[in-house]
Formats: sequence, C-alpha cells, structure tokens
Amino acid sequence: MKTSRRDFLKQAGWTILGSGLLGTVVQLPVRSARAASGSSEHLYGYIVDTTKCIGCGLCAGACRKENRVPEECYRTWIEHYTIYLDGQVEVESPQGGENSFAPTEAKGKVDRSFFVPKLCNHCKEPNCVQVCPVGATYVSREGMVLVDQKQCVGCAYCIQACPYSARFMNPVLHVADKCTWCYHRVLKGLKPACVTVCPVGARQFGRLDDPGSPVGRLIKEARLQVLKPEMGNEPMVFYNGLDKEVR
Amino acid sequence: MLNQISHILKAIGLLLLGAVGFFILRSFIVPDSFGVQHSYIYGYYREASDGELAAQPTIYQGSEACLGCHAVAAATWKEGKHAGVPCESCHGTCRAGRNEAGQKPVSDSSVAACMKCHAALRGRPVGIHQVAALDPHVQEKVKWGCQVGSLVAVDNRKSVKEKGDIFAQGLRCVLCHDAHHPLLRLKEFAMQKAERERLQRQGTDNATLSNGEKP
Ligand code: HEC
Ligand code: HEC
Ligand code: HEC
Ligand code: HEC
Repeated sequence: MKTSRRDFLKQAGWTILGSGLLGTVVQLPVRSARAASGSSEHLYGYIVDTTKCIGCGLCAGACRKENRVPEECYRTWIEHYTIYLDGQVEVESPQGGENSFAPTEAKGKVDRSFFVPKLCNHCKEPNCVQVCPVGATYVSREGMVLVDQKQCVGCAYCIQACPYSARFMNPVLHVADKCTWCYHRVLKGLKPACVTVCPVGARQFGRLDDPGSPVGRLIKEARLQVLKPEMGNEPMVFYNGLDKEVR
Repeated sequence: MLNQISHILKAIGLLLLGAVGFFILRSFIVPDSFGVQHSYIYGYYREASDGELAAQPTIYQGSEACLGCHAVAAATWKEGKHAGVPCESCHGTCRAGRNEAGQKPVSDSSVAACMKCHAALRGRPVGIHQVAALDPHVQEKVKWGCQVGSLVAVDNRKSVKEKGDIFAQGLRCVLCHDAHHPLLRLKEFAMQKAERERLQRQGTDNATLSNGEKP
C-alpha cells in the first residue's frame, strides 16, 4: 500500500484529535469525583510533652484494652532514653513500657535521661499510603491515616515504608495494624484512650484550629518539634522537649 | 481513499463507544471517594471503612462518667492531690460494676500499683513526688507516720536499718495514704498527734499538780 503525504497527514490528524478527545473523556469523571469529595483535611493534632512523661505505661495498657491490640504488639509505646556523659545513648522499652520501668542501675555517669512516648504520627504526606498496592490504607476526611482491614492483603510494604516503625502485622488478622488516634472515640467527641488515662497530661489531643483546646493553644505558643523532620512526612504528632538524640 | 477513512472512523467510533461504556460502568462500580488526589499521591479511600472503624465500641469513658455512681469516692478524689489522675488510670474501666472483660473493676492497693507512678526512676520528672522504698528519706517519713498515727503496726522502737524493707514485709502505702486523697489521713494523723501532745501536756500539768514534782 502506498500512502501519499497528504493521506498520512490526514490520518495523523485524526489520530491526534481522537486521542485528545479520549483523554478529555477519561479525565472528566475523575475530576468530578475529586471535586465532589474534596481532599482530606488535617483537623487534629497530638502533642506529647516529654518533660512531663513519667513512664508509668498506663497509656500503652489502655490502648491495648481499648483497641484489643494483640499481646506483644504495640500501637503506642514508651522509650526510656539515657544519655551518658561519654555520649553513649541507651534506649530501652521493655514490653513497650506497658508495665512501667524497673529502676535499673546506670552504666556510667548519666548526662540526661527522659521518657519518650511514641505512636503513629498521622503524617500529612504518609509514605505508607503511597506504597500500598491495593489502596487499603488511606487518609480519612479528618486527616487520620487508617487501614481498611478488609482491603488489606498483608504485604507489609507499609510497615517497611513507615520511618517511625509505627505499624505492625496483626498476628490474628494477618493485616497491617496501627494507631488510629482512636478514630471511633474522636468521632464521638472523646479523647483517644491514651490521652484519657495519662495521669500527668503528657499527652494532649485536639483540633488544631480551636484556640480554646490545649492543642490549638500549644501549637502556637510552645515551640514544638516533630520526629525525623528530614523525612518530609510532615508528622501531626508534635513533641515538646525533644532531645536531639531521639530518633 | 474514502474507504480507508471510513475504516479509521469505524475504529475510532468503536474505541469511543468502548470508552463511554467503560466510564458508565466505572461510575457505578467505583465509589466517589476512591482515588481522591492528596498532594502528590492518591489518597485511596473506601468510605465504608470509615464507618466500620467508627463503629468500634468505646471502652474508656473518662472520669466524669464515674462521678454519678461513685459519688463518695469521687468527692474525696476531687479534694486531694490525685484529682489530676483520672479514675481509669488506677481502676481501668467500669460500667455498672463490670469492666470490659465482664469482671469486677480492679482496685489494686499494692505497693507496686503506687510505685508505677511514684517509684524513683532515672529520668522521671521531678514534678511528681518519687519514693524509693528503701530510701532513708521515705523510711524517715514512714517512721514519722507511725509515730503520729495509731493505724500502722510497725515496731518503731527499732531503727530503720534493723527493720529492713518494711514494704517487703507487707506494709502497704494505703495504710497511711488514702488512695483518692493521699494526704487526707496524714492530716488526721497530724491532728491526732497534736491532740495527743495537748492531752500529754495537760496530763503532765495535772501530774505536777497532784504529786508536787516534775515528771
Ligand atoms: C452505673 C453506675 C456505675 C458507673 C457509671 C460506674 N460504676 Fe463502678 N461500680 C458500680 C457498681 C454497682 C459496683 C459494684 C460491683 C460489685 O460489687 O460487684 C462498682 C464497682 C466499682 C469498683 C470496685 C469497688 C470495690 O469494692 O472493689 C471500682 C474500682 C469502680 N466501680 C470504679 C469505677 C470507675 C473508675 C468508673 C468510671 C469509669 C465507674 N466505676 C463507673 C457502678 C458504677
Ligand atoms: C491513684 C489511683 C486512684 C485513683 C486516681 C482513683 N482511685 Fe479509686 N481506689 C484506688 C485504690 C488503690 C483503691 C483501694 C483502696 C483500699 O483498698 O484502701 C480504690 C478504691 C476505690 C473504690 C472502692 C470503694 C472505696 O471507696 O474504697 C471505688 C468505688 C473507687 N476507688 C472509685 C474511684 C473513682 C470513681 C475514682 C475517680 C473519681 C477513683 N476511684 C480514682 C486508687 C485510685
Ligand atoms: C497513675 C499514676 C499515679 C498512681 C498509680 C499513684 N499516684 Fe500518687 N500522685 C500522682 C500524681 C500525678 C500526683 C500529683 C503530683 C505530685 O504531687 O507528686 C500524685 C501525688 C501523690 C501524693 C502527694 C504528694 C505531695 O506531697 O504533693 C501522694 C502522697 C501520693 N501521690 C501517694 C500515692 C499512693 C500512696 C499511691 C498508691 C495508692 C499513689 N500515689 C498512686 C500519680 C499517681
Ligand atoms: C506509715 C505511714 C506511711 C506509709 C506506709 C507510706 N507513707 Fe508516704 N508519707 C507518709 C508521711 C507521714 C508523709 C509526709 C507527708 C507530708 O510531708 O506532709 C509521706 C509523704 C509521701 C509522699 C510525698 C513525698 C514528699 O517528698 O513530700 C509520697 C509521694 C508518698 N508519701 C508516697 C508513698 C508511697 C508510694 C508509699 C508506699 C510505698 C507510702 N508513701 C507509704 C507516711 C507514709
């Protein structure tokens, strides 16, 4: 078959026109869906005051009961840091700190020591959501990073992707599991279980845009830090009194 | 020539028809909220999962929920130094007398229960009063407690060193400290002590009068 230049140009024109039209049609429903449900807003913030934490471990215990977390798994845990004068850093978290800490002998001259409670940071830019191959982990309208346990296939990519080791494989359900900031409580106007039982107010939770809540106030007044800011995940858990040795 | 164009048109028409069919089907099957753009990533999102997670029952209720049924305990608690400590920190949950496992709520008055928060730990902030059971400071306090109160059956004629760890021997913190108002009974002790001293003074005054000599 011989094609003249004229015919070739004509055909090329049609093809370009056709694919352009197709592209528009493809985009339309996606765009409208996006417009309809809007993006998720990060309404809530969580503040951990390491200068107040006494390491009693009640938060980890309450979390286990509230969310029926399987034994030896932790949605939240407490790390006990000891930094020696020679620069050595010791971190311990026996049973996630759930049963508090035994008074241990220091291994040298102690420079400083403190407790750091940890939990899912509910990041603005969550790696875990990005890597999920089946769309089972997502950001809710309120900004919580959640796992759809029916959709999850248990590939554990998200567990590897989390820079904070906040996720674990649920040994009963064989799906990814993590802190939800007690999503079920927050929707009912309650605080997360860990915040509810903290005897010293080291854990605070509330709306970021409410200047009346401790979180709304502290976020403006206290100079807070986040864990691993260099990862670019923009965590929504803020720490007061975070030492540079904390990772 | 014309023949060729009609072939192409047919192909494009078919493609378009297929595409339209696909999108009509898709709009029915895929929920609106799936694939919401979230900055540089797709925030995959299944709305029903929200509901499933939200339907999880709540267990912890906060201290306000306890006040109605345990008015006496709550009234004492409100007055004391433990007012900032939520009921559920010490007791776990209770709904009409049963906890989440269907058992009676825990009321742990052991030394270990107090030491969870009050043990002297490295790095524990000084804002919370800390005790070490064998700390002479505490032993001193306890001796004082024994002297002022009549409640504690500790032999306080022996020195702290001879007594050893009195807490290991079964003495509990709640003997001197009310769990809900930790300084309550101490106040009573102090009042008792003052009263006893007053009586003693009166007694000696009387003794001086009747015997004519100093005791
Ligand atoms: C609807 C009323 C009700 C509410 C609300 C309630 N309780 Fe109770 N609670 C009871 C009853 C009734 C018992 C006695 C159960 C028994 O003796 O078997 C009890 C028993 C207890 C006990 C055991 C007392 C003992 O003698 O050992 C504790 C501790 C307790 N509740 C704590 C709490 C706390 C903490 C809360 C708040 C979270 C709470 N309760 C809320 C009714 C209530
Ligand atoms: C610091 C821990 C602590 C806190 C906070 C606390 N309790 Fe208790 N509670 C105890 C202990 C320990 C006992 C057991 C006392 C004993 O055996 O002498 C107890 C006993 C009780 C009892 C049994 C009856 C009694 O009065 O002895 C009830 C009911 C009770 N608590 C309710 C409450 C309620 C309601 C609150 C919150 C308003 C609360 N508790 C806060 C530690 C605590
Ligand atoms: C959940 C943590 C927690 C537990 C468990 C707990 N306390 Fe406390 N306690 C506190 C806090 C917080 C304070 C207020 C800060 C302070 O004054 O140390 C306090 C204060 C006190 C004080 C007053 C100190 C002062 O002079 O101001 C005494 C005494 C005390 N507790 C005794 C006890 C005893 C006895 C027990 C065991 C029945 C107990 N605590 C269990 C958290 C706890
Ligand atoms: C024999 C009585 C007695 C016993 C038992 C006892 N205490 Fe005390 N405790 C006292 C007295 C008295 C004080 C002093 C109160 C004051 O200074 O006003 C005190 C003070 C305290 C304080 C305040 C500390 C400070 O530096 O002011 C704490 C905290 C405390 N006790 C906790 C405990 C704990 C925890 C236990 C159990 C391991 C315990 N006590 C057992 C009598 C006792």
